[in-house]
Amino acid sequence: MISRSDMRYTLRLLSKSPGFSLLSILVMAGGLGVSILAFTFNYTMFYKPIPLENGAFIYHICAGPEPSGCRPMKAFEFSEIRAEISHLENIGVYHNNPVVMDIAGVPVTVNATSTEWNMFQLSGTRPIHGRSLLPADEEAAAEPVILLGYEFWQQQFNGDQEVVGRVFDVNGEATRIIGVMPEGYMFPWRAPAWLPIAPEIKAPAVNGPVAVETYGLLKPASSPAAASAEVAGLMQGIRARYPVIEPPTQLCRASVSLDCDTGHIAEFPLAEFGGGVALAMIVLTGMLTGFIFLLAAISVGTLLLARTNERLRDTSIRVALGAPRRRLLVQMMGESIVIAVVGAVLGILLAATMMNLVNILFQSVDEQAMAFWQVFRVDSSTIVGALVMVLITVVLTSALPSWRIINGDFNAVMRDGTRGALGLKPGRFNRGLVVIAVTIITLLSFLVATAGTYAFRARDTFGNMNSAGLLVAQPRLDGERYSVNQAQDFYRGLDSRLLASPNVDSVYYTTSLGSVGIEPEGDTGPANELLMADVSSVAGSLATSGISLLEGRLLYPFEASNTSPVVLLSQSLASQLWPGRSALGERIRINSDRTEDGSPWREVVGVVTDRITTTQLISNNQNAAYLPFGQTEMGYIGVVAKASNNSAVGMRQASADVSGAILALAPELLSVRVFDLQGQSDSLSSAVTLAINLSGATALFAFLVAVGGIFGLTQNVVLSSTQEIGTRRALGASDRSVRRTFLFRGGKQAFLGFALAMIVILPVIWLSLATVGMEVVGVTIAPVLGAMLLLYGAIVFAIYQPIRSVLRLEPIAALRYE
Amino acid sequence: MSHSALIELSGISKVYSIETLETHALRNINLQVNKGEFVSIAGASGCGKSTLLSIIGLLDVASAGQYFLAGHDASSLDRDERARLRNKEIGFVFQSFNLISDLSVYENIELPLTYRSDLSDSAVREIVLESLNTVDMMSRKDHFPSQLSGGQQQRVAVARAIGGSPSMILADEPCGNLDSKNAESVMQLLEQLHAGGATICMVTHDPKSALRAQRYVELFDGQIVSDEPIAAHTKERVLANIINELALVGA
Repeated sequence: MISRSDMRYTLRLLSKSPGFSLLSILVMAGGLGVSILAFTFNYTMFYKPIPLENGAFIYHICAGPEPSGCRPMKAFEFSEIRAEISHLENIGVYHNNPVVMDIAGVPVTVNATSTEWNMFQLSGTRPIHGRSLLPADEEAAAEPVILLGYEFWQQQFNGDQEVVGRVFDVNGEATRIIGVMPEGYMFPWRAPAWLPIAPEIKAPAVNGPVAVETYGLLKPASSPAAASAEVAGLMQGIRARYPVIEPPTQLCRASVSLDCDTGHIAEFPLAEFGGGVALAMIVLTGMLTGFIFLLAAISVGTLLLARTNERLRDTSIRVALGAPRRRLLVQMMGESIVIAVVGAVLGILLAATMMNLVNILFQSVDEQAMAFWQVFRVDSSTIVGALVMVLITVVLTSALPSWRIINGDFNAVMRDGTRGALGLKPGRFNRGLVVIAVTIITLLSFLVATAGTYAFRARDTFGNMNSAGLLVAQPRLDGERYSVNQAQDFYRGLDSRLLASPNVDSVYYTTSLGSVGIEPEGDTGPANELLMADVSSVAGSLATSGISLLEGRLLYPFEASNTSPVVLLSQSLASQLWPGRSALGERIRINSDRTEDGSPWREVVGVVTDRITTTQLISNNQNAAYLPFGQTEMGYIGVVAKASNNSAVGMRQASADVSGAILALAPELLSVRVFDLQGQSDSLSSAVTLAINLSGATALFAFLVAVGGIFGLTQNVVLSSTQEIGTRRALGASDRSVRRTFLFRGGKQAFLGFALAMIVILPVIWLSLATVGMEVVGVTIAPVLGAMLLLYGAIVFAIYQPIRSVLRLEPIAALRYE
Repeated sequence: MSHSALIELSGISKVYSIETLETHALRNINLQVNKGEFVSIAGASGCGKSTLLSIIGLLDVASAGQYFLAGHDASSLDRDERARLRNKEIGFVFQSFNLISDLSVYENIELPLTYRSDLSDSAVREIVLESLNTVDMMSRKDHFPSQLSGGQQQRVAVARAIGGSPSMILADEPCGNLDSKNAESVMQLLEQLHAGGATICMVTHDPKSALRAQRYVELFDGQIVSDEPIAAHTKERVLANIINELALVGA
């Protein structure tokens, strides 16, 4: 136990240098706060189990290979394999679809979940009022029923206790409320209400195209790998039983080039992001979390270690005087423990405040963006994590060095004639820590600056898009049901329906063929010098998306595979290919590697204005080429419709017309989400702005914490070198020479840190120069250089300021300094 | 002022003030040390001998009085001029060695020479190696101070002090932290240096060491109470004093 005298000693040590104590506590609080925030973000986004009884064992059953992410499975495929899945139980299907409810005469649109009854068994949750869904509710002749979520019940029905049994209109059909689920339950994502799944989805037609989301509970004796292997095998078995009706279109080949006939299972949080995206996000946020944690640990650790090292001689004297080891350990660690505990409490409070801000950020952007369990908060795991970090920090920076001294050659420390500096090893260790901290700060600055540059570009890109009145839908036509010709028929039908609508002004269809090399006829240069352009296949009115004709003509609707291949070029691309002259009549080939791959020579029939696209997030390239729909295979097609009236009512009517027309032509899609592009851009722009502000503030805070740590450590090292300064001056060193020696020493550490970081940064810059050019890279480098200057300034100040006060002493006073 | 004197102190006083309390470390010190002399400054603990050595070594400034070093009025020198004089004219040997832990033996000896602009790199190297030879530490030149015994560290400190061929060597309790064998070795080194013409001022409270000098200056309560060449009768008197003190302690 800590005795009163030990406590007094600890408090005396803390009050002896209040500035350093305060700085240590602030660095601890800041470092821990930022680390907890970063850790919680990563954990909540990707690893936090669903807070349900069986949360950790609930999985999605996905179509496609694992690397391509979790794709919805066809209802038909699922119905074929569900009986044979042995590693999962309580499996079922669901899909989210917008429904319009008539609540007291007010139409309310919500994204409800249509699901099988066993979803509630799977999640082990019972309603607080009434009952949950039953198998009988899924019968075709059953009365339409709905189960309400607690929050929806509170908001729309004011928590009416008599709500169960009431009937109201859902999608124009009288529907009975059968129950209310408990507060906080919104499984599978953020469901406000649940409807029974339609019978035709549960028992679909053979080779039917309807896609559904699925769920299942991993059996206790099974592993995810075994379940994935089983699903993959079963999916391959379906193709053997039911040969492909239509050959896979490019849709299947391009988007799932590995293998269409496979499957796997995925955890719920990760399934939402898709394999590659999830991996990239995990790696990126993991790196950020790791860097921030390391930086915080080093900042805090160096300060505590410096304090411990300062006490080495005192401790050795105490050992020599026969102090019990345990008592000594308590005395040596007392100060660190007080700093760590006070810092941890402040750090947790800081993290909690920042988490609230993150929650507000996500909710303000899109309420559906996060699952119901993805709420950032300080909980028991956060506190345990914080305590573990504090414990590790105290053990590594205080307990271990103290223990080493107590059990080591304390006489050697007392006999140490090298006055005026820390011992050789601690001195080097401290300097090494400064080098590592500078390296990490440089890397972190680069990472944040790079992310910030792209975030600003994203904000500007979304902000600059002229998207007022534009609606966008992306119907996913099934590759096996729709051949190229059928898909084209679909879009022709859609075009005629939409143009007939009084609420739609014009329509434009586009499918991206990616960034591809453009080979002008007669050019024989190397393949790597080909200009790259965003190539898309288009139909309809280009003017809808703000593109206007500058020269020549636009594409004709009849241009197809049996007419002469043609292309429209953006102004930027045309002027680079044929500078100073007209591009009309020239020929190009879309061909990245100059191989004779059958790609036809296309005549340039028109030049159009450049357009701001999201491609410009990663490139300044405004090169674009537009091909006629009929002359290419199609992937996912975006439908861009311009509403006749930009008012909210006009947009709503146009949106209803767009989704109505799509569903009339492809009823198997069940639902189509139509985005208001302006709203989407505004919301993305404001989301990015908020994200920039929040992450910028976090990064700045982490940076300041680290700078504070380096400042404190450097200052401490200089002050510990007071006797060394006295010795140097006794040997004839002038004040300037002493300043220069220490500044050079600090500069050397900073330079080493920068150099180590540059080993990583320079190759990235070199690669970036090749893709985005100096304009973007320059913007990225500038903040890094700024951060480095600030850091270097802090180091110089941390050296200069204490040296100035030491130099004010007479040399003999410095020599006698304790 | 006598121009043959290397050190001439006239009416030197030193007062330390802590809040309202004034401590007179030195009172009206008049002392002259000629070139080539080996002077020991002795006295009880707290009598002001280290303060006197600090003022002689330009590590501290007197509160009053005048100090001439090699004919120059040291009292009027600014910080940089004092630093230059310390570097060129004075070599220090401290009780606690004051070696710099991050520097090797070679670098510690080299350190004061690097502050001089009149020495080439090769000249510095030659001086360092010669100094290492003088103190018999050549085999340890790449070691760090923490790898040396106390005696070895003090020999390195002596080598550092003599490297720049200073006009005088100031040694503050050079054997204070050493065992008798190492103390003897260091004293022999100082005697060798003196025999080679070095001027040495040594503060010590060890009578045996003090009596190995040429001249014996004794301080008491910040004042010089005795200043005489060491002859047979001086040794007898000093030893008699010691025996008396020991007897008092025993009683």
